[in-house]
Amino acid sequence: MVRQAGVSRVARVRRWVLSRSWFELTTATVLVVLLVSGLFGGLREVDTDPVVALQAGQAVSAQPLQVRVTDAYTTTSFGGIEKKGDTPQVYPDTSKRGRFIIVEAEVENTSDATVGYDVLSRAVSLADASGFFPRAGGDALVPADEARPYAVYTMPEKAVFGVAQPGLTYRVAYLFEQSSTTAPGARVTTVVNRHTWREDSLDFHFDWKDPEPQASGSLPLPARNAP
Amino acid sequence: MIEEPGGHRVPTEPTVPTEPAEPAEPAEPTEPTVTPTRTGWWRRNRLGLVLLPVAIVAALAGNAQRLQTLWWEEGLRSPQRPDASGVVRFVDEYDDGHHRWPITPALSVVSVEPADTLPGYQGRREPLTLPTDGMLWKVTLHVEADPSLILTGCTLALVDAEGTRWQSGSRAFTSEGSEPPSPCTPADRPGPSWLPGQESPVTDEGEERPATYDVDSYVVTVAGARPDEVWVWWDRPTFAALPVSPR
Amino acid sequence: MNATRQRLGARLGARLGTRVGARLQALPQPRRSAFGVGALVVAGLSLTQALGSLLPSTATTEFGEGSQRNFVRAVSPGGGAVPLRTGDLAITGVEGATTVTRPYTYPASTDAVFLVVRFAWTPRAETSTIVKATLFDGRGRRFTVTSLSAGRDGVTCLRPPPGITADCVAVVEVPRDALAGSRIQLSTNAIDDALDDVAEADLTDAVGPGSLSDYGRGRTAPVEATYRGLE
Repeated sequence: MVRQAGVSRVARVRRWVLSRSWFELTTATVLVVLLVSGLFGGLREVDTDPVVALQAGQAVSAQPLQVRVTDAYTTTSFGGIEKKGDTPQVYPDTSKRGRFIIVEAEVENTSDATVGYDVLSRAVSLADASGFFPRAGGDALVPADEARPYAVYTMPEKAVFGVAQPGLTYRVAYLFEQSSTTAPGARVTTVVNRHTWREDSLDFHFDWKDPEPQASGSLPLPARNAP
Repeated sequence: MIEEPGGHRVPTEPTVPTEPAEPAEPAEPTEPTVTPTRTGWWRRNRLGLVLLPVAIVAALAGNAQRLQTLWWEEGLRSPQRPDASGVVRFVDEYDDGHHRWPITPALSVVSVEPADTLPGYQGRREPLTLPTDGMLWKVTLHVEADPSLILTGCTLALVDAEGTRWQSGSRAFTSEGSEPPSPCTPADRPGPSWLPGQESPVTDEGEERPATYDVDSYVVTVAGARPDEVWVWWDRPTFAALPVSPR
Repeated sequence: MNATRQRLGARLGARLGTRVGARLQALPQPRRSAFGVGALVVAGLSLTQALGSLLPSTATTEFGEGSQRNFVRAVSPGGGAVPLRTGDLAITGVEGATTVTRPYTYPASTDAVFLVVRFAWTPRAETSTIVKATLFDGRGRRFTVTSLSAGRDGVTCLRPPPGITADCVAVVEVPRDALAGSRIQLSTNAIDDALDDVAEADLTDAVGPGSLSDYGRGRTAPVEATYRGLE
């Protein structure tokens, strides 16, 4: 009885489908493909630019910036300048719980508007290492690809790298704080990230978003502690 | 016509109830003359007409987030005025979702007068330099409050008839002296405070607040200002509005 | 009208097959009131468009632009004050420098140029201050600094009581090719100045007419915010 009812239902569905016109069937198929593929980001080809090799001194175009990583080293005390005449003293940043991995770079804003700290601080990151403090004040250690800089400074005056103006190149230093519980490596994988100009889905404000590796390479990491 | 899975057919000829039924094929080219009357239109659209004002109000409310944050929550819009004896028996409450405490002092103005010095070290009075067109006022409040009440974090302002508001704590001067830290509590005995992370209100040793006291504060206004009222508030939008000249 | 529709339907039906023709005939019949509603919708859209064009710059995707753009109040360097919604603003000086100094801060130098705009701010009904400066150059580039950006460049301004004037400085580091034909906007809101007043000054005369390649070269500009009349 149940089986018979099932069969007749299948038969009814088949008859109903077969009685559709080709137009209706095509429309239905297109709709199904559209809706299902939409769940996975649509049928558009995914842009999969390969990550290029990063070398010290080589300029990398990573929208909206051009980044030339010049140096990488570790230190426990960074950026102090003695008082001289009218120029005031600059206090160094010191790491009491480990060391700073410093990545020095020249950063140029190649877009036509000011770029803010959020993008600038994410333009350079580290990879393939562990034991980083997520940000100043945080305690739980995270791997390098989750670590945000302790600070990013323009040099030599050591001001916060808060904005990069279009068409200008800045000498900057990225400070990542690594715990003393982790041994320093002889090399560090340094990554330059590009961003995408897109609209925020919440506030509809356009901005540079979604940092993605543009170039990545292993740099020597000497220790240069202040005397 | 729409075919149903069952195979039977349902006629789907549109039926418009307000129009007279038309012949399937007009024999003559004469158009049926249907002119909907005014009452007909109002009647047909009565639901829409009722909903239209509702939709307009909803659309305006949907764009009123600035009214909500800048006026309803953060605007000084709810004054409490003095009784016959010139005292505001203030009733407000601090509530940040974690901590909650009452703010119920009795406030009155003792004096509002021009001043040219600030309190300095060891009770000295210190002169000060004001900005161009600046003028200094000393405001003395009389406060009566249970010493267990938390009265830290208040703001005081002088307000003129046009609503111009000069707040204490502007530090718009240079002087060896300084403004008292709070316009509502004695400088050296502020009483209890309750900071985030603390289990309960804390009073530092020797800083218990008396039950009644006078407290001075200093306000920089533009020269020639004619303040009418002293406003005191802890948590916007509620404030105490005290006339400068006692009634 | 219905007759026309049916005749059209029959003709189309002959061409496309009776099925489509029947569908067309089965569509709801438009009536005169439907055209009235259509006209009303078009009129409403036109009215909105017209209102949008009355609002304070061209449609872009930024905050404070498009239909949400701000009201631009022109002010000339060295001229009088312009009234904004919450206070009066006057531009008191424009200079170029290659080094800027701030109290307790190591001086910052540039290979480009620091454009230093000095201005006076006098709030009206309650205390307020200028927190954002945006420089537009002649090549469509936009240079923004705020009081929060505490780096090499930024806006430095105190919060005066109403009627008291603060002497303020906006420093914007720009490439030399941005000097020609530039204008600067000063605003009381760093996040969203939509529909609010901003002061705008054309800097062409203030920066020119000398050689732009030497403008401010070798000069040092001190940056400090004060109240007028106080050191």
